[in-house]
Amino acid sequence: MSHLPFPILIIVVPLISAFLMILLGWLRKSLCYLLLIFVLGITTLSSFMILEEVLWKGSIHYRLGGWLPPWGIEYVIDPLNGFVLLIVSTISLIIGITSKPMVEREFPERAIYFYCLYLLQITGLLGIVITGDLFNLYVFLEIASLAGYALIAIGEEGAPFASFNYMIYGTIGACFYLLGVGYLYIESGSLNMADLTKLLPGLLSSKVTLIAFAFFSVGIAIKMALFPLHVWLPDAYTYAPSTVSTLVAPLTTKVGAYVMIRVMVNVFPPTFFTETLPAALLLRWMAGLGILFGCLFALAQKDLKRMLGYVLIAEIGYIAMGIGFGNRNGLTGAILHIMNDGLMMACLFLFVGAITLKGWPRKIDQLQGLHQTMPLTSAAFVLSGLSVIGVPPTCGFFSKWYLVLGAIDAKQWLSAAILLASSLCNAILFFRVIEKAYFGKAGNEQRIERPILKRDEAPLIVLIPLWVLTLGVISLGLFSGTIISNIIHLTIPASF
Amino acid sequence: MIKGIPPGFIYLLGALLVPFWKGRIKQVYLLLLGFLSLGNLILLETGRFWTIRFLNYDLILLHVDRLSMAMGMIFIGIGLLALLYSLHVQEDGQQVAALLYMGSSLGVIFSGDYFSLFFFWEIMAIASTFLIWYRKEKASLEAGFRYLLMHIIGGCILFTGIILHVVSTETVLLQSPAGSLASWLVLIGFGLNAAFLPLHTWLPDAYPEGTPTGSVFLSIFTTKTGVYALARCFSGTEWVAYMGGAMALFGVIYALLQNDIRRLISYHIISQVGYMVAGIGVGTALSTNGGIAHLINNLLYKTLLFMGMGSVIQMTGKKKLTELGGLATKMPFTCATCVIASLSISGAPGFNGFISKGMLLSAMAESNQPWLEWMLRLASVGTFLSFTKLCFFTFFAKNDRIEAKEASLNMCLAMVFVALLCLTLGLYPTILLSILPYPSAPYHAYTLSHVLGVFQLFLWTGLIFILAKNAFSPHAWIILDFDYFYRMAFKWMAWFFKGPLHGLRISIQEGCSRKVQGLIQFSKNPLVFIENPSKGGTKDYDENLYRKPMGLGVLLAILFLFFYSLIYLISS
Repeated sequence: MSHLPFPILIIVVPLISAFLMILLGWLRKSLCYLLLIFVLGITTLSSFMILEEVLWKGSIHYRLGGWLPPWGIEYVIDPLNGFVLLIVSTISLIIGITSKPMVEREFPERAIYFYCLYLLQITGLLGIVITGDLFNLYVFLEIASLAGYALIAIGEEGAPFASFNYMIYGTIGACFYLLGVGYLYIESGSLNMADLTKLLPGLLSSKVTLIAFAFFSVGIAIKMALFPLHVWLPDAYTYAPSTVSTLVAPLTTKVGAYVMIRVMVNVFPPTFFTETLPAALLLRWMAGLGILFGCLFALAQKDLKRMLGYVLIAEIGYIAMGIGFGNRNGLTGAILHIMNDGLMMACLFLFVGAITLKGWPRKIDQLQGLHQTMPLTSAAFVLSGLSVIGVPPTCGFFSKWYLVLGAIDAKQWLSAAILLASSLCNAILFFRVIEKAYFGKAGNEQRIERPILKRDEAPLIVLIPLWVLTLGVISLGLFSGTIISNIIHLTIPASF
Repeated sequence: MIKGIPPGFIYLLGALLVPFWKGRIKQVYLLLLGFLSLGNLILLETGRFWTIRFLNYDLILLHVDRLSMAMGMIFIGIGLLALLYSLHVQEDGQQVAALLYMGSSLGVIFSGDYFSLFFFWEIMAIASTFLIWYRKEKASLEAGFRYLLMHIIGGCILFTGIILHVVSTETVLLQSPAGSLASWLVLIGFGLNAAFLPLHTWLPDAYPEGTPTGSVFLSIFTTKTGVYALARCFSGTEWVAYMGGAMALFGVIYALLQNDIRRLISYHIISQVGYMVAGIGVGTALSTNGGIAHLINNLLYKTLLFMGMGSVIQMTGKKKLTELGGLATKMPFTCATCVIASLSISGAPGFNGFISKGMLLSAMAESNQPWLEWMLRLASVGTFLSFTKLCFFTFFAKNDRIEAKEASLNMCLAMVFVALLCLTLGLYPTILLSILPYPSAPYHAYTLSHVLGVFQLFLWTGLIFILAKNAFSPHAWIILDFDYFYRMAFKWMAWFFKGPLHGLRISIQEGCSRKVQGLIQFSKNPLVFIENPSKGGTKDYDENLYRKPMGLGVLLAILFLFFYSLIYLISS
């Protein structure tokens, strides 16, 4: 079993299947979904095997075509990206399972292309995570982004414009990133991350390296939608088809956060980021403002999905803040939050998808009586909402706990206050929705046509994955101690 | 290698299954639980088992020594009889509450550390409250609330003491608390359950209001776990000994004045617990043994009394001495067992009370405590008087209008069992003496002087009763106890909360409301202060009102790049 080349399979299988998908779609349209699940199953299995091997035997190095680094492209999996790899592939599998009814309802005629793009998106995301080469990362970043633009453009009225908007910003982000890589290449002559880690300490005083770092800072911030460069996100995720926003919202920004950790803390020496430059300070400020901004604007929203978009901006702020603390607890919280937020957001967006599937509006003040028709779905929303607020024992509590510990270790009292205040704000946000869905008076004039008391749950193919995610939200909270000591502590650089 | 499980767990877990059974099977099931824990008790070995690591402390769920074993034996035995007595109760909730109550008090007895003791202590308080509430009358509801309130407050005080003790000694092991403040707080916590004097008001308040079967359970466990906890941690504290003497006297005096039969016995609980507390407070081996022996005996005859009075109330529907009488011929079993119980509690030779009272009195005499000895003797007189009164006015006084039948079979069976146990222990005291926890010189109950002394006492008291019967005849009056002061204090507190404090709250709230009004508008549209969307007509946030040209965002990105580069270049 261990001789199977999982690191390459995990990229090649979805990439090739994406093209096979179109051929298969011409032959038998109904098989596309099965192929999608099959491929995602393989990636999930591979990522699981990879992580296990990494944890038992240490980092894996896979050289494409047998070329030795730093000349050839190399896939390197250490505990950090092994962990993110597992998160990405598992969530994409779960979301993939739920895609069928939503695709059939929203755009049945474009199902084949959707599945193809889905696989390309996953290929891109997995590639970003697995690669050990900065330029190769850019290539995968573009694959993921292009697939993302196309996927979002499928959506409702306003989606093409939102997608175009996203494309402009995304291209600028990717472009900045590429320029950063270029400057770094000029200075060091290498694109391999491991090689750069060795070369860079001698080149830190160079102006070119500094400019490269500035490009990285801004480019990645755009890609992960860090305030105030988030402007593409609310529109894009609101107008995208439900299944697409369910896929893209939890994963894309988290992968962006991974890239930030990888480049700023791993490729560049950590002290460069925290001590030589005020980069960590800037990041903390952007993150803190982002958290406040996200919460505040989420409060003003009337559309549930749009509200979640702004919550997502605040959550990105958490991760960035954890990185910005530049200490062990902060980074632990950030990495844990990559997993937790992925789960929570997948769960929340899937909830929106499920109620849209049953013809419910997304307007928050029209959700009266939701718990009567969809009790299980609403319960899942409540639990994951509690996790976003940070109520123990849900997983959201634990990442927030480590973030606050990080803030205290870094003596950033203002940041700690922001973290706690945002919890309060999240509580208002989610209880506003819960209050409407559970206690809002039924029989509102806009919803007379629906017989209120009849139970009409989402189909099992959506409901079961939704609850798998919800149970994940709780159980990963309970097991977060194990996850932290067995995985996350291995990912943190020794100098922290 | 079966060493037995913590005895409380059988009841605690068993309680959860009660609602699944029906009718006859449920009755069998309940008795089975009782026998199961009896069997389990035999398997127990001395030592500390079932240790659980919690927050860096070792919790000991099963700590067996002679003291906990003696307590466990009597609790399980009498618990089984109480279960038998309440077998006809149909409400699942009541049975569950009773089982949880028994289980948790066994948990207290067998826990070897403060944390698990406190855990079970609190379950006990809550479960027992339900036994009062299940009577479902307004009076019992209110009494239950007062009961719960006092026990929760006591629990908080106890917990504060425990925390202080644990912090200063860094161990949770059950031992005499260290530090004077910790020791006082723990003593108050334990003392509340043992009905220490100004804290005793919950007992005569709540016990008469319980369900007829619930009162039997109530009279068994709460005060006795208090006594057990005192024996464990405060043995040999002189202050406690005098408190015991005072309780013994106080309880008897108030009992003499009562009209409600169950309230009368409730005050006797205080008095009897006083004997035990006095024994434990003196702290010699003989006196502690006497205290525990008295606890065991008292459990038997007090339970028997509550059973008897429960039957009387259930069969006649009356609970006041002024309304009762003439039941001797109508309820012969109840009458006979009640007389046995009354003789036992008064300490007549041949009954079990005689043995333990004798032990206590001679222990007092041995350790030179004449004051205590006389307090207890006086209390004995009062006890005999009040039970003569109880039996006379319930069973023998003339009352032609009363209608009653004998109690049901399970109730009679339970009463006869307990009455036989009273007699057995009275006639063969070695059985009792063999299970007592502390080694001491052999005690001989039936000495000539002791027997004669008791007879003398009985004769004189009997004479007084006959001569002054009218003075002792029951009256329908209300007797004030300490709880008068508590109720008054709470009334003033309630007035303070409703009047000035409420006004303050209202004014603060109104001030805040105005601020919140402003915040609401802000939360609906955070941009309202930056730019006023007068053209849109609405003040709520609408993303389409604020959509800016795309170039602005691009400009922002480039500006950011510029400033980042600038800052990096300057700072490096």
